[in-house]
Order: sequence, then structure tokens, then C-alpha cells
Amino acid sequence: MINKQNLFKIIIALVLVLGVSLMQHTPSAVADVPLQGDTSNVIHIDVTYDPITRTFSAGGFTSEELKQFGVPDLPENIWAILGVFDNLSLKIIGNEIQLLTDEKPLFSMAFDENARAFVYDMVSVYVQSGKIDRERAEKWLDKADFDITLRKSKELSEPLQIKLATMLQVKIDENGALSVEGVPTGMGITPETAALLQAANIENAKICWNKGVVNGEVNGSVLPQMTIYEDGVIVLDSALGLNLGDLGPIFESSFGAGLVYADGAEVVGECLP
Amino acid sequence: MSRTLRVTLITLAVILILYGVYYVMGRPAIPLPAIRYHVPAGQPLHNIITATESDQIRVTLNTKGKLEMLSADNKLVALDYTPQTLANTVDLALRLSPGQTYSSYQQFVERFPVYPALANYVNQFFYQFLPFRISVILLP
Repeated sequence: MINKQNLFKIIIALVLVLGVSLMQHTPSAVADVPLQGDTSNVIHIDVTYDPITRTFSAGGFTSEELKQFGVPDLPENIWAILGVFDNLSLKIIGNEIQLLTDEKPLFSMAFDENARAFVYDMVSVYVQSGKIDRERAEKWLDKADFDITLRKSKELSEPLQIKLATMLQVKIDENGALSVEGVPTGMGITPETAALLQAANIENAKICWNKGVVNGEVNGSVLPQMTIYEDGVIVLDSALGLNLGDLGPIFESSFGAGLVYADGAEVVGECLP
Repeated sequence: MSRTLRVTLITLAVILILYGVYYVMGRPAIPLPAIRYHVPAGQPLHNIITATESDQIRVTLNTKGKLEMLSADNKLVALDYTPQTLANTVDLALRLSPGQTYSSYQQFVERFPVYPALANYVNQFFYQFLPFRISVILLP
């Protein structure tokens, strides 16, 4: 009887210990994309051109691939200008614009508030869709690290580098017309899709791409994190005959978009690589 | 103390001890037998399978929060979820589903109001306490 009592005591003790240990169990969770301190908008585009064959390569894409993407041929006057230089580089870093030719500075100017205001006014005159959104433009330029390099060379250009912390603001109006950063694109969604979005009460969405990792939110609700591997896209490309070309630059890039439908609230926050 | 109570207590203790060992081992997902499925020719999925080097795609669900699509040793796509993000996705899918699916679901929930809580409980149980892993091997 005493043995049985001891057995019950041991069982109860075990139950208590295991119960407490289970209660202290920490649920596992999906690892977030590690946040880094660098929140600049980096765009580095390398362009190589050959004035003799009148071909050019940009962002690691060949002339043929660029044509497939719908990039037009350069006009003759542009080729005439390019023929003069061996190397041309335009940099916008923070509050400064630099133009370098053959590695020598051609000009450099402060791109401060006054200079930006002047540029906005100039652009607004030429943009038929109305004045540009200064607040959005400032958001982009405040963190700008833009660099376009043009090199006279027959070799393939270096892969595109895009790391955008600021999200592109994409708006779809009630009629389905799509605009990016306030600029109409001429594209839109079908009335059926618009009706579906309306019926589903979808107001906005946030999509962030970071080197193959996709994070998304719809109406502020977080969706599962998707990781797309380059091998997977190559398989799809081959199976469906998509002819996507070199995917390296895309899988090295980070960017995101905030989509707003009709009168939905603007998507806030950033896509941090 | 009655014999029934003693048996119940001992059974409970054994279950807890076993689960304790399983917990200490890091709660690995319990593997279930893989299901093989031949995709008929003419379907888009068939073309995707034949485009892989191994001529097969393995879709693995680990209820600890991971859904993967692999071909041989190459990862194609992976989805990491939590019970919350999974619930959000199901809700979105229902809302975007064609026809009367969403309203039918709402009517079903009105009739069985316990259903969302039950679904959430099952989801949490297999995510937090007893994860399992199941694979579907897709063949041409």
C-alpha cells in the first residue's frame, strides 16, 4: 500500500513538472526577414553600348532581351552624343547630383530643397497628368542613392542593383485604371477583377520582394511568407515557355509596392531589405 | 482509490512522460507515409513536373508552419506560415472565391458557430503541440 502511495506521488509530481514545462513552452514562429539599418533607395544601372553595331546592354540584359521587354532602339542623335564619350556617369546621392565623364567630373550641383522645387516645377510643366506629388518625390529623394553608368564597351553590362526601402504607391481607381506614384500608366484591371475586389472588400495590399522572399499584407492582415527560388522559376519558365531570360538581377533586388483600391487607405511603412 | 481511476492516472502519466521526451527532443514533425499521385498528361501541372530534372515534384506540408515544393534536392517554392497568417489566407481565399462560396461559408458558420473556433483549435494543435509531416509526390 505504501509502495502504491509512493507511485501515485511520483506520478503526480511528474504530471506537475511536465505540466509546468509545457505551459512554459514558447510557440515557434516564422522568422522575420532580418531588418537592417540601411534604408536607402539604391538604384545602380550599368549600361554598355557599342556605337558601331548600335547595340546596348543595360542592367545585365542583352540587347535582344531588352527588345523583348519592349525597350525601343536609341535615336540617332543619342548615338551621336554617346559616340563622343567613353564613359558617362550620373549620380544622385542625397543632396548632390554629379555628372562624370571619362571619370572626370563634368559638373556637380547641390540638389537641395530649392533645386528640387525648381525641378518639380519643371517636371510638372511637362507632365500632362498634373503636378507631381512633392511629398512622395521627397520621400524617394531623401534616401536616394541613384547611379547610372554608361560605358562604351561590347561586353555585357553589370547586373541591375535595386534595393528600394520606399514602396511604390500603386493606385487602382473605381474604373480600374492603374497609376504608379500618381502617374497614369494607361493600364488597368478588368471590370470582373474590379467587381471581385469590391465584393471581397479589399481596400489595400502591401507586397515586398526581397531577393526571392515575398511578404504580403491584405487590408493589414499578414499573409504567409513565400520564398521563391530561382530554380523554381526556371522550371516554370521552361514548362510554360515564358522566356523570362536571366533572372539573376531580380533575385538580387529588393523592392515593394503599396496597392490601394478605390478609396482604400494608403499603405504606410516601408519594405526593409 | 478505484482501479479505473488508477488506470486513468497511470495512462495520463505515461502519455505526459512520452510527450515530455518528445518535447525535450524538440517536437520533431511526425512523418506520415508519402502519397504518390500521377498527374495526367495535358494538365499544366504535368508540364511543370516534366520540366524538372527528376521528373517528379514533392509537395511537403510540415504542420509546424512550412509548405515546400521540391524537385530532387532543389527547392522550388516554400511557404512559411503561422496559424494567424494561415487563417488570414483562408479568409482571403474564401472572399476571393468565385460564385456563392463565401456566402455559403457564412451560412454554414451561422448554423455551426463553433466551427471557426474548432478549426483554429485544430490548426493550433498541429502547429504547436503535435506537428506532422506529409508529402505528396507528383509524377507524370
